[in-house]
Amino acid sequence: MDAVDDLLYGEHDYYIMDSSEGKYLAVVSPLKDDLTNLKDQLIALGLQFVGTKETCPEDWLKNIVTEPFEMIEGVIVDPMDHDLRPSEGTIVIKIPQGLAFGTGLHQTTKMSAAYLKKYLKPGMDVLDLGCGSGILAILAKRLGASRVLAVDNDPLAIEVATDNALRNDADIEVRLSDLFSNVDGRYDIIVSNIVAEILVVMLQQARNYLKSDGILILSGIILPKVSLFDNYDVVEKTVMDEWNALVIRI
Amino acid sequence: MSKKVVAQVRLVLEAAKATPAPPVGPALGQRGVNLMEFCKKFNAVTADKAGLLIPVVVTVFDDRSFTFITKTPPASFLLKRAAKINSGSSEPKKKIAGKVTRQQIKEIAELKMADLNSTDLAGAMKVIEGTARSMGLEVVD
Repeated sequence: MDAVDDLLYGEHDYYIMDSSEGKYLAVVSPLKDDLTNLKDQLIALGLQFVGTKETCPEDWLKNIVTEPFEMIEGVIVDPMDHDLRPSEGTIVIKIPQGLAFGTGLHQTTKMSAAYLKKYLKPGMDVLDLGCGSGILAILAKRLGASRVLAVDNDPLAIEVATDNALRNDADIEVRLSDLFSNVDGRYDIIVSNIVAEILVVMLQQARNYLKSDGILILSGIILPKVSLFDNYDVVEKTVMDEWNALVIRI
Repeated sequence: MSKKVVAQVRLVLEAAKATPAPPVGPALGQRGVNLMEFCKKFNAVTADKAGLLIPVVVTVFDDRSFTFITKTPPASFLLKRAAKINSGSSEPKKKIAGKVTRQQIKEIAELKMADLNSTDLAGAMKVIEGTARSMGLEVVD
């Protein structure tokens, strides 16, 4: 193990699988040449070569949900293009399950969505900071928001959120931005489902982007880290399993 | 009835930056693990270690649920990074591959305490110093 780490750690993507089928090391690379050179080095360490395998996202995502599900009361997420006829007042959002965060299944997304539904009044401006798939931004638009800006620092998220906005015919802006670096304007609601440590950094700058009576909906806070927010004016808090979501005024 | 372990998977991931892309996708997807759930949780618990590459061992059960524990990076990796070299010496007793300071040894020992069988920092520093010497690194004050 040490020799394998010495060779691969920090240099290559790899994993070691130990199951009833045996124990093996897999090195993952988009470049075949890369792997050919490594193969000889790994054999020299005493490992036995088993084979190579091509794989693609469809292989890893085969266990994902394809049927529509109720994310929160009155909001249905459809991962495929089903011909749904929802009852009046029910919102349907089409979000294919993919590689971007925000599939609608996670507790942190559900709690954020529930707070959006509770606090968002038609005509409000909403910023989704760390938008992932864009699911919360699209929901905000469906709930009657006026301007919706969705930003993320991951180019993949921008691509996916832009696709999803089109798929849902939702008029939202999607931008690449590291926290507020590419954000303009002021918002009634800033919704952000990331991780506690980044949310704390974000809060230090949030005042410049929030309207005077605006609120922040924060999610992705794992239980032991909720104390990082002790000094803030927490209006409301929800806990699902080990996850916390907060509504904060600053 | 208790759940049955179907696999243990060891991965190396950047703290707070796991996504379902490789290596997470190919490694855990084949076992039916909910990739988003794993990434979200891994990122949440490692966010205070941003910038570090972290080994993580994921235990997957027969109902596709999982637990994981994070480890500390290998001492050799941390030492190479501290000495700003790509590999240790091919002849550690004869050739010096680089230098690390005692302060760097202390920092690495502090980080590795959880995974080392030392009860005190001085003992942990001795272990790290031993690893440094075996790689042909000179320890300087």
